[in-house]
Amino acid sequence: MTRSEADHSVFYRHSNAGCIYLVVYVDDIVLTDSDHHDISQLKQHICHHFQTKDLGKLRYFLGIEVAQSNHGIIISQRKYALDLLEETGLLNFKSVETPMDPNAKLLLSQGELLSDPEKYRRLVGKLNYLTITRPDISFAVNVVSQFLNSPCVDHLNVVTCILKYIKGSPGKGILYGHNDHTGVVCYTDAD
Amino acid sequence: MVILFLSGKMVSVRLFIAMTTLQRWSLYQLDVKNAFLNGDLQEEIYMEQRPGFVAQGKSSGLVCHLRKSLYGLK
Repeated sequence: MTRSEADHSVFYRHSNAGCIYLVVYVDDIVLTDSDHHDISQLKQHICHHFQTKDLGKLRYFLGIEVAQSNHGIIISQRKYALDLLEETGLLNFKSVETPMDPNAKLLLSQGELLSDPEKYRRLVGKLNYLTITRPDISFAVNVVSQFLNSPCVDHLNVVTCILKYIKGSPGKGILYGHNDHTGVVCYTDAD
Repeated sequence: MVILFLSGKMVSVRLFIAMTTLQRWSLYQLDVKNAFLNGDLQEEIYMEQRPGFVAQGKSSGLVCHLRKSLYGLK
């Protein structure tokens, strides 16, 4: 197999029989190919060199839940989101409709400095990881990331608002549907 | 000595998902057991004996000779 130049943890092989791709994340390996015969051969080859556990179809990888069906692939971070809500004690709070107040103006030193800035940084870091399957909070997370250096009470309130938004839909994710095209589709709201 | 461990970029994983969807392939997963014991070692490295796992008796004062690299070893 050839190692990819763009990402050294990706390996691939192209041949007349088909192609096979593999990505390694420390001890987790995700693989896909055009021919089922090849994949069992490769699995055997890997098992020969390392003690491995065949986990079958990809279902859970780095906190991301993967569901494969005839309609396509859905990725979500439901468990990750719920764990985050539990950790922050927001599981029983009322959810909000939007991740952020569109009119809110946030400034660098606004309100009282947080006594525990680490907690703020940890939360923002986790929200950042959640954007993998939640692009709807990307903007809000980008905004709160600008105050990591000296977070204030007002900034933490915005973070709490994002979490309450997540509370309303922890299982939301991204669907990669079988549309049979690679074109970009644009939706607009023109009223 | 720096041991690199392979950690794929999330972009690659997303690309995998997009590609498999388009080609209607399936994604599979393997988990390497005790991955941290599988690093190959090119240099000769010795390690102090760990507390609670120290050779007793006349063989005291020994160090361990590493045969495999441990995960995260620098």
